[in-house]
Amino acid sequence: MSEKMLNRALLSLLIIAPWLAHWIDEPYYVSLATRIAILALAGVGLNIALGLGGMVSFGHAAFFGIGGYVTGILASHALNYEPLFSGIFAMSGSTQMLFIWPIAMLVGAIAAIFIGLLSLRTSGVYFIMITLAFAQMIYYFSISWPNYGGEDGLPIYLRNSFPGVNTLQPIQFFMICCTILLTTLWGVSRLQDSRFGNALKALRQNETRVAAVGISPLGIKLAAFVISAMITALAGSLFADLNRFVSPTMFSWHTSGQIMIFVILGGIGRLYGPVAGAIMFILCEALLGSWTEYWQFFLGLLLLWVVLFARGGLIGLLCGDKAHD
Amino acid sequence: MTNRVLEITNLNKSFGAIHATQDLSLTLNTGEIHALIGPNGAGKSTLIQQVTGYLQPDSGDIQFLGQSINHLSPAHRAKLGLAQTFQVSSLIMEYSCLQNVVLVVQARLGSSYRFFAPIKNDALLQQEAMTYLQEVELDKRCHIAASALSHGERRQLEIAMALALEPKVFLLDEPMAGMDPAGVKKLIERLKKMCRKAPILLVEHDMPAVFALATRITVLDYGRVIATGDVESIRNNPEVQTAYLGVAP
Amino acid sequence: MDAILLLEQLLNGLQLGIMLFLIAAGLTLIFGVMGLINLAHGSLYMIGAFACAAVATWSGSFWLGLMASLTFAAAAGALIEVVIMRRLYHREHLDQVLATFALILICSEGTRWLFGSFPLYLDVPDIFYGAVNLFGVLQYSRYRLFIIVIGLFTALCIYLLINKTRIGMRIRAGAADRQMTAALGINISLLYTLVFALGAALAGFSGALVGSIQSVEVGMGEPVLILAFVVVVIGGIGSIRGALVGALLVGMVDTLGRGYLPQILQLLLDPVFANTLGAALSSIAIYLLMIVILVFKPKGLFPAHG
Repeated sequence: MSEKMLNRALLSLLIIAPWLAHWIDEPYYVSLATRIAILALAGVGLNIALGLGGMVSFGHAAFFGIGGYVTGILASHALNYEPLFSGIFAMSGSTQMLFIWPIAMLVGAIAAIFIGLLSLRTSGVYFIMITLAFAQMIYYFSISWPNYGGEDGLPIYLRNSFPGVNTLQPIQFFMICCTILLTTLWGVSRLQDSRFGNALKALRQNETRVAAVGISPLGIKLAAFVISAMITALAGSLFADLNRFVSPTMFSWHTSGQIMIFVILGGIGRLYGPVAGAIMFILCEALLGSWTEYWQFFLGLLLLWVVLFARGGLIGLLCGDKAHD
Repeated sequence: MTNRVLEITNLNKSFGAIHATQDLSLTLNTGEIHALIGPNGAGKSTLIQQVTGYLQPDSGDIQFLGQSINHLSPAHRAKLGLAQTFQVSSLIMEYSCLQNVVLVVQARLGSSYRFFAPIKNDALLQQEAMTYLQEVELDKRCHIAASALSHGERRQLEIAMALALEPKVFLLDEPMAGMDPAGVKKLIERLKKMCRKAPILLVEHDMPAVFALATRITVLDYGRVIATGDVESIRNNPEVQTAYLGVAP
Repeated sequence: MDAILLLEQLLNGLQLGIMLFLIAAGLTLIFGVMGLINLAHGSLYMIGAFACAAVATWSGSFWLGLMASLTFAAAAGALIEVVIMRRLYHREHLDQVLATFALILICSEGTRWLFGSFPLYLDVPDIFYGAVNLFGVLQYSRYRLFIIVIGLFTALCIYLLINKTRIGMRIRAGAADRQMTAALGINISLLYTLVFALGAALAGFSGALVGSIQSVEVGMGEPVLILAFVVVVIGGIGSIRGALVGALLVGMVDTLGRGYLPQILQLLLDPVFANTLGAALSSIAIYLLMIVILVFKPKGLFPAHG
């Protein structure tokens, strides 16, 4: 099977299945598909750093959670009519997705610049552990800072709104998430074939050589890290609206690990890898989860098998090795 | 003064007790091939790494086109026009020959921060990259991945990438290493042509090649310059003969 | 500030630091010798605690439980090394992270399957009940004091093992230069299994010791694992000495931060806000410490070779 065909099949599945569920009035499956779309989006974000740039970030939960908390905090301020800051930076909350998304991405980007500047000075295991530690730092902070619910998390009483769409209806919210995922996939497909993508992919393979032709590695890596974080933050914002709830769990290292699993299960460095991975993960959870409470045991076995014996993930298994273009 | 491209003055670098570069001064002028020779461990690689920016000297100055470059990063130096080839081929292994050269042209022709336009549609970039491959006779192999090239072809690709930078100086670190005699002969002709574009600082072990090419030769031993001069004077320098060529005076 | 309270906090910090050292020592050795980043190290800590609790309940003897924690964790470590880790030594760090993350899922869920979700409690022997009078001023928990003493003793044993024995010399050689060690004809795969089992035994042992202070439950290894990572990063990956300094530093900063940061902030800020901020800051104090250290020393306090 060619990779292109498989990608189309995956997308059709992701789009058609929830509509079928909608027609037979099974909103549970619509929200399952919405989760897949959102988590795939988070994976697409991580894949820019991990797959294209070779930066093994074990702290993308930080950006996922930041997207979520920005959404929750803005919505709660809007509901309580409390300004967000006082003084010249006064700003009110909002329940408009079109306003919340850019803010979520902006805050994600600022955090990524800060974390990136400090952690990209290192490489290898140090980079893995430092990104992990940054995410943990935010995790513990969110638990012990009581203003926005602390350990208990922060509810979003009404799903935020989007002009002309009833976001409370599952299929309509699904279409929003799916549209964002498709747009992002298209954007990333352009990105990876652009000059920037060319430099980034080269950097993963041979940093010394890239510097020797006059491209500064740090700048390219930082830009990729920030773009990657912004996409993951956007996914976090949608995830908060899906659950109408944000909690410190979004920052936990299990979340980082899960986002990484989507990328790996599907096939690392492939555009649609995270989509395939998220579908597999959520289906595993739904199928195994209905059969045994200990489904993560089997998820662990599956993941171990993929890492040890099937490095290309699902797409690699079905389509063979990545072609050199 | 006008034709002085690279000027190294009183450079020092030590690793613990080992003085790898000792009070070293060296110049490179337009149009010349300046060969750097010396036994293993004489400090040639350390010197090259200080010029390219991967090592910081303890003291001393490196001037490039009249500007001190000591504080600049390797990428910045390359951008200014310092092209290097590596002792052990250093390529983007998954990329084809053409993609490797395209990366260089892209870096020289402007920003790498263009996120949207597909590089494949950039005819100018592709064509220009192709001319450099033609120059080293790799154009027929342009779509082969670097990892699939033979050793000799990799050395050629390194040269093509250095050329594509349109540099002001070539720093070639043992370009003949591992080449067969025919390859060496070809490379000698190529370097003769290249030095009309920009002067070459050549680190090389192949003595006949050095004597065939060099305008000037500097001999290093224990991190110091023990002699500098044209081919004849170096050939006949008794100190060089004992230290390096292994001939009793 | 109350000097007696400070002394108690210092002892608590020392106790946390020593426990962290026992875990971090294995982690940093495994990285230094095999080049492996092992997220599942926390699971070995958990396995040790469960083994101790199960055997202690079954036999009625805490000491048998402690022995069991060492044996089980070492056996589990050796098994994991032989079956899985061996395939990972030459892989990228990403593969190692993912495979060991998968192991965490397997170990945690497997343990939950066997023991259920309820925490187990581990009773300490009678002689450790109550408090002991220290320096005539401080009533300090006998058991915590026992942990400090046995932890220091174990740390000393590690030091002697690494620095004074033949096997330790091989381990050091392995950490310094892997190819060289292989060239010397040392049986590398046996050495690796031993190092892994040793690291696992230390983690399991500390899990059993701490299990009596806290409860023994699934997931108990994860917060500790991350603390141990911070220790290893601060100390310099691969350095035992770094792990010791890092562990004591993290133990002290964490304990003293929680104890005193809110009070210090109260001198400057409104008390309610100071308490909130102090609690939040002290929960992230060690991460801030790590960032500051890495800004100045990107390879940690005691960078190992290479």
